[in-house]
Amino acid sequence: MFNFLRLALTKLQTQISIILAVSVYARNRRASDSAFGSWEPVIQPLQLLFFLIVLRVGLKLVFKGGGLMTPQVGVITSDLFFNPILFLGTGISIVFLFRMIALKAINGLKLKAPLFYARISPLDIVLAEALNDVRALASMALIILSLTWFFTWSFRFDRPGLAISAYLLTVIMAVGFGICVLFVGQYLPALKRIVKRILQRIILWTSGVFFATFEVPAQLRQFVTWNPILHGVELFRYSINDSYPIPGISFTYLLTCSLLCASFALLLYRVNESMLLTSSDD
Amino acid sequence: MSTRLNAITGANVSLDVENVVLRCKRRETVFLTPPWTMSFRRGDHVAILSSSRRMRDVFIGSLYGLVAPVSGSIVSHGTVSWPVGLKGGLDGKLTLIQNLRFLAGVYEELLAPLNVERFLQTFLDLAGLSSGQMLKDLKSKDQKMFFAIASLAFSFDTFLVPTAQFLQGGVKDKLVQCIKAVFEDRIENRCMITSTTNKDFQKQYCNKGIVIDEAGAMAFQGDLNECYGWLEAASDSVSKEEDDSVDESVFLEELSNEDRDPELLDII
Repeated sequence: MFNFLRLALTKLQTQISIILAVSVYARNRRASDSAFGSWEPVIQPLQLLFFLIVLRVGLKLVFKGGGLMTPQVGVITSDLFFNPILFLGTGISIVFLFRMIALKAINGLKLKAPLFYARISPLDIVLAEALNDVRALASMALIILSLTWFFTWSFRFDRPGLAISAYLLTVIMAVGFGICVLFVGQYLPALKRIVKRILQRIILWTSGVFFATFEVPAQLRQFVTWNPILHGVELFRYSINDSYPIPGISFTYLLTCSLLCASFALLLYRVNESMLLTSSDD
Repeated sequence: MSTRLNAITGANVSLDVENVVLRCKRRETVFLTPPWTMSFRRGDHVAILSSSRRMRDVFIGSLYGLVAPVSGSIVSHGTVSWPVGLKGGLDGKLTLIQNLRFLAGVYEELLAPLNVERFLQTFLDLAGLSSGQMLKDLKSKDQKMFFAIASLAFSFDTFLVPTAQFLQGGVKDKLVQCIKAVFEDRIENRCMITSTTNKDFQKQYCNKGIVIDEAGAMAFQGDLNECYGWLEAASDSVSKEEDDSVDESVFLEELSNEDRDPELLDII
């Protein structure tokens, strides 16, 4: 029994070491191409965040004429719980995490050279790339949180455990979802293209980056809460400020979706490991 | 003649090849080899002798697992090195030390030197290179030297050596002497299988040989000198010296990195 446990632990340690080595390999490759070096993966989402903040503030000024930080009297909006930068930042760090990881899995492996080494399997590379995305977007989220705390002088992080769980479940769901779509896409190429378009374009506008679930009228809520990414985003916000209302949002739902996606993906991966080797770009 | 190189004697076996049939290509013709069965033991230093470079490389590739046999099985009892001296999964955009650290992470428990940076630096100082240089910026000769050094940082149970180019050099070439010393240390009491055509290397390091004829059948196996004698008697073309460079496409086909990642700003 102890021998089995020791063997399992050794194997796990080797596997983790391989994933870490591949993730550093991928990061270094990317850094060598960029003027920002290792900061490149953080700079890109920060650029996008800045653009979206400008867009949101601009639209607000145009339509309402209100100040950026002044909540409107008598109306409960997300501004009461989060300043707009933090609100957008938390949304982007989850939605983009899902989008980037899922797209990489759907597109198949771009990083194939490490497969020369018999110890490295395609799933190791997918997980290593996912780890890099987690590092980049979690760093971005932490930078925004730190800056917000610094400028508002109010430290708030009510449920760090929930934040980490929401993050990890989103990663598991993204990897699982990507592999499932890749597998089905072999038989239905159109599905793969449609999902990629949805992930690239529509997901930003439907996953709660710009709106809070409680702001959506109760009658319409059921049309958005089917989206598990929305649950990840809202739970992440709730973990920072637990007075933030999250009607219709459930941790169990996010957990179920993640585990289902991951389980199906592992089954499909077991059946056809080589599917990840076929890379494609539309 | 028995097709078994050695009787299987339990724990000493490093690699077992059982009824393996390989698909080989000669000019435009693709053919299947007759089934091969053999065992390689610890301490065996075996030279694969064949007039077809491709057949030798396919065999080395199949022992490593990069070339799938048509039928049969290859069972390794211990760790098998990637073909020594090949680029493998190393990336030109990475610096030398980044590439070596990557390998050290993947084969962590097989890493022989205690300090991988110092290990690399020892060789690079002799070659007049820096560990911070990008692999792609090196001359082809220096790249090959680095690939060999990277392989020799690990203690595998079986070493596969498709080329001996990295050991070619005069007695006064300190770098080559240093690489030789490490290579000898690594293969001591380990299994080593080579497909090089370099006779000096074969004579210096190999104690056994396997002759494969043009049809892909194992024609002879035994002591290296006996193999040479057999080849001389058969006046086979293997005895002629040929270029020792390896066709990496046998090992690396479809295993190259692509650069395009989905752009974040595609979303808008």
